[in-house]
Amino acid sequence: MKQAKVIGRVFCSRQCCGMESKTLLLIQPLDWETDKPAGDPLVAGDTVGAGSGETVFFVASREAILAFEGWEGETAVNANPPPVDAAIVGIIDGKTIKVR
Amino acid sequence: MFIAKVIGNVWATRKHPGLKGATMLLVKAVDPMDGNKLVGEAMLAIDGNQGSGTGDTVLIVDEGGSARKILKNSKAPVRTVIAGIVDTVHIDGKGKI
Repeated sequence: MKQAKVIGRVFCSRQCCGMESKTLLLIQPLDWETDKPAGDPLVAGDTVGAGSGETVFFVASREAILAFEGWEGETAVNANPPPVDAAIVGIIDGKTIKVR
Repeated sequence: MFIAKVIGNVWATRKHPGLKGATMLLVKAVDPMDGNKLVGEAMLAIDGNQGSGTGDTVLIVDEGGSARKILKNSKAPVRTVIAGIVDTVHIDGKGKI
């Protein structure tokens, strides 16, 4: 899981199966230690209601779809998750780094 | 799997329900030939019920299927999990870590 900053929002009026009513955010991945940008910005689906300027963490690839699929113990499991390759799964409140 | 050192922790109130109660730790890979040298970039790992903390040398699984098996949650959006705490690593009969 990587750290990122939400830098914008993406709107699509025509989109693929399961993407309807899903929030897409533009995020800039950050290095965990330095908080400096690491790599190019990307578009990620949102599962936690993150907003612009917030520092979040996200998962990529197959785990991103799982984030939308539902979870164990949940009654309504989404059988038609959106085909995303990155998903925001948490908003960071704080972090400490003691060893470098 | 690789050996890493826990360098810090992260806390988040708003997170995916699949991560509820999870301990989130920042880990950085250790050079197996030199236990004091950290290599690569830091990543966020979920503690798989090992009770590890900052400063510990740990074993990391960086693959989704195995990670979910360790957490015993087939739907958790997790890829990087701490699977164990490393006591020692021996290379050519010499303790390196």
